Amino acid sequence: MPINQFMQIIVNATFLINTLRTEPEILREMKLSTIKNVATEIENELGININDFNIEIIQTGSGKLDLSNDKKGRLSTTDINLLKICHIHRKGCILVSDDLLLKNTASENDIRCYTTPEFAAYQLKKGVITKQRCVKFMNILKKIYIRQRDIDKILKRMEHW
Amino acid sequence: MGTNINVTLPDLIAGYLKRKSKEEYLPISAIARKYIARGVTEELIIEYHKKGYSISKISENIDVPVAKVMDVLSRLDEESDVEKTLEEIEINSLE
Repeated sequence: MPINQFMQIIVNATFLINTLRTEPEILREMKLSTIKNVATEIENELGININDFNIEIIQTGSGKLDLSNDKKGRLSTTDINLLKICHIHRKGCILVSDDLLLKNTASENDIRCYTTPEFAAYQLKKGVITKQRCVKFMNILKKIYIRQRDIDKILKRMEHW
Repeated sequence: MGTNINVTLPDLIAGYLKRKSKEEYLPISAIARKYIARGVTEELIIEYHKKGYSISKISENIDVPVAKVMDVLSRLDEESDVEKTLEEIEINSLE
């Protein structure tokens, strides 16, 4: 699936929490979207109105998903709503989430999904952020990130970029 | 509402709870409740995670913030297969 030049970036709460706790200003440099459930989660948890960060709230859709691997209901309503909206735009959007179940389910439904550090690497490759900025962000993120060793691996790979 | 549970604690732990009770001007039972709830919540987060629940679903089921779930899971020292995604990013950046 080739990357569309105007990919819509749809983010979930894990990405926003990671970024708001580390480098919130980076959010203003990107064109990001999310759904209302996520905006409410962020407002309730961090007391931050994501409208202040120029993040667009998009309507949830009714995309047809293959959730055959989630018979036990291990995804939340917010997860499913995010997947549905991404499925509608799957040729032109990237979901950003640090949840591996969400990422795997996205992949099974032909939706591109990156974790926060992978997304930072993607932004570097696309020339949206500089290498210096990206490395700085990764090093700050590493202090709170859910899988710190992933960041080490990405930083090592980025040395050759 | 709740269940009354009587427990016998080692002196070291009981002594700590008594000290905290004085420092925080709260009954020792309130202090003990706070620590037990915190510990059990963290155990539940890990239990749900090992059963494969998403972060958002764990937050919903246990009624704790997503950020709390992320903090607890960050202590597990897990990793994922980032190489595959990085290869994909590298290939796509050439297009």
